[in-house]
Amino acid sequence: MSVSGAPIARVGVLCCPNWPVVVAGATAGEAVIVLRANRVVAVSVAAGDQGVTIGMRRRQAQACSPGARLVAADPDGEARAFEPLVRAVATMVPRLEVTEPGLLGFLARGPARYFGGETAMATRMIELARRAVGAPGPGGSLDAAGGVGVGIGHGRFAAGIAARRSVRTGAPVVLDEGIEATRRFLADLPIAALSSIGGVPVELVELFARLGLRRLGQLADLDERDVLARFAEPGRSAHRLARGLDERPADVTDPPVGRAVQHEFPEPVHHSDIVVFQARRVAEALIDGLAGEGRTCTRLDVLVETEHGERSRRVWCRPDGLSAAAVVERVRWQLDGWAASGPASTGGITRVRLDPVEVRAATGTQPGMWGGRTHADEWAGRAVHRLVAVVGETEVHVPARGAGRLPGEVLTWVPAATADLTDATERLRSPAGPWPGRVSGPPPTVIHDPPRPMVVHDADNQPVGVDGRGAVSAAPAGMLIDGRRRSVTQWAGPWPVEQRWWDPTMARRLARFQLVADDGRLIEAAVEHRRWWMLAEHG
Amino acid sequence: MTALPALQAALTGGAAARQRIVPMGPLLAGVLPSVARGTTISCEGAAPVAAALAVAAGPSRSGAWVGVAGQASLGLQAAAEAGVALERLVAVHRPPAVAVHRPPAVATDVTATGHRAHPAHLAHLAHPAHLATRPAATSDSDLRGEAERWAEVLAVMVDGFDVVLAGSATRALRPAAARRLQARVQSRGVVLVTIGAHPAFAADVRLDTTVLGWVGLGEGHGLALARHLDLHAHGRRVPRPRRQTVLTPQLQLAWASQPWPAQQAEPEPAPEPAPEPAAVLASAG
Repeated sequence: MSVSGAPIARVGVLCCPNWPVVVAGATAGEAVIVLRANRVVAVSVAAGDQGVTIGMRRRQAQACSPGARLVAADPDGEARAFEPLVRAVATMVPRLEVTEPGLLGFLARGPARYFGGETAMATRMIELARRAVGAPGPGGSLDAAGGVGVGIGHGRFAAGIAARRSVRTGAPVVLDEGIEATRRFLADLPIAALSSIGGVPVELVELFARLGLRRLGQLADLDERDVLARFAEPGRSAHRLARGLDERPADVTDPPVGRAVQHEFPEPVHHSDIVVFQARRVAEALIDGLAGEGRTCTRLDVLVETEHGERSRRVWCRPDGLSAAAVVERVRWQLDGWAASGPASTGGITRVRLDPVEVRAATGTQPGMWGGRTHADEWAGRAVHRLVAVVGETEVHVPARGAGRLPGEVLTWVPAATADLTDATERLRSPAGPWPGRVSGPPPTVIHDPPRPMVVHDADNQPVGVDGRGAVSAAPAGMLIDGRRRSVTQWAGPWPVEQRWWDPTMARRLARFQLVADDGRLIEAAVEHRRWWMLAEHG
Repeated sequence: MTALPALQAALTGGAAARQRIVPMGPLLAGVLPSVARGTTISCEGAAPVAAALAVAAGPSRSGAWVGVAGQASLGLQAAAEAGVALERLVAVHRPPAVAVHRPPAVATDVTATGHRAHPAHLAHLAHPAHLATRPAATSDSDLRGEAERWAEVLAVMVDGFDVVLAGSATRALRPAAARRLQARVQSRGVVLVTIGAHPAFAADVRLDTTVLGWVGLGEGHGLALARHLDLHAHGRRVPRPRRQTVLTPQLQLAWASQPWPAQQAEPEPAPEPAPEPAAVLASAG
């Protein structure tokens, strides 16, 4: 078995596993539980002693520790509070990467030489971190969260485990030099470390455990080719981690990425489509630029500003990396969400800014053999681009979920240029809220938007109407569509629809009918203000 | 054994591109279970859109992309229920513009959009094929220009997608352009479906539809639940024409899945010959 590739770099990891507790302002000895979506994400030492663990439900946690203070997680606040600590560490090591608030990595070789050895540097760094948190800080004490640890070893995985160990002991943990020593250190660890620290999918790790691989050493002893054959690429990377080989060196980026791009509109724009199309150009430039450097953006800060200075700012994250289409889709969600949340904006939009907060090396993708992205998808993606070139970017449409009770409102068309073609789950997600008053039964195959005028008459050729109480004046016997007479063979209705009565511009009051023409076509019709409209047909 | 085709479809997900025979949707299982790649299918009669969706549903379920040209009125919910994967559906409603652009219609504003006068050459976009007579107001040169532009759109779709639905708006295509397109359809192995009879295309398979009646609907009461649809597959590439009456959508109610009244008298509900729709409706009404 050969150990391929370059020697694994010495990596240091600084870790504060319960960082949200510090941000929540916990004092030493206080029981604090931080929750996100009713799940525990961080606990203070006191709460941990009472049996609260990460991943518990809110009620379980409260049962374990009734006196604990419950705090909602605030990822933005955590990131902001982590910033002084990052700056303090950055004075010692020039290049570092923040994995998440409370966890950062750096290349250890150079700084260790400068500060007189790895242990000396790590001790100094722990002290520096404590001072950075203590001084102006977020108010909480590091001790409440269990302290901060620094671990140094070959590869991020081993260094991460060393850092966790360092948090418990309070002193830095420096693993022995050499790949064999790292492997010996890892061999006795439980396989679950792969998912909790190594980022390997939980399902795969559970499968390893079910197959009897309970220690990292047992996995490492298998032949790499066998693991690759049985578990494909994820298995191979887990195998590499278990052998002390990192999949790749730490993706070090200078803390400020500084690649923000923006577009300023010369005049305030009131239509979100125009904003989205501009965002598309900007996003393509940004993503293409990053791709040229072999990098992909995994976290993006989107800022939208109106002429009156109101702002909508949101950070979008996608671990696989954001494509330009995914960026555009997120801009559209953000604009939609902003518009839906009420009168947040009073003016037109003047500025869109995209700031890649997190970038990492692009690893490329391979079309899947079973499901996933196929060659047909690749071809179709190219065809959509060519269609856009032929008919214009507003004229190529893909389905998206709408909201409403009329036939054409449940699913609508949106321009393909603003949609993510590779991942349609968000676009086609079920709509929020029930829509009472929907006519059930098979949906129509032809929807007229706008509705087309028609005439419905009774047996005496008198127009059929619906009075204020919803009663029909006479049974429909015939209709006139596009100047052609049709007799009515079956019909049902009226179903009154009165919607948005609170809004004079959107309010509608109509009565719906189903009419079957003599050729068998079922027509969904509506009468509104004594005029008949053909809404849809089953053709 | 019945599970085998479904399993096969699931296993070949995405690999449909390499197969020479394409399965059709479940609605057509009795009349047209599959067609060869490169076939042109013309869906005609009273339910051409439903038939076209049933054709597209088969390949779409096994990973194919579906392009729709000139059928802006397509009901997406109906497409989804027919079995078309919406994440692999792309549509062009209007041909590349030369001059006038219709502003996007606002769905909730019926009175305003209803009164708006549409440009003549756009008005017939919304026409379902079985209604469509060529709009009288359209001049010949207008139509020719539009036909050429649709040919361009269809050519890109045939190159990129596995199934292409040519909607009612593309009927004006000229025979020469249609021949070139069909040659491309055959060499690329695409399934081309026309919604309504398109005179320019030489259809390999004709799928005729007749609605025998609706279940659940009465005279002023009830609600449409399903229809008895008579399907008839014939044409030059169909060695043995087949005909079947199906209830669509399939209902789980015992009373509703009774055969259509005209056939109840027979001990065995024979699929053919289908009764004349007019006579059936008369006896039922």
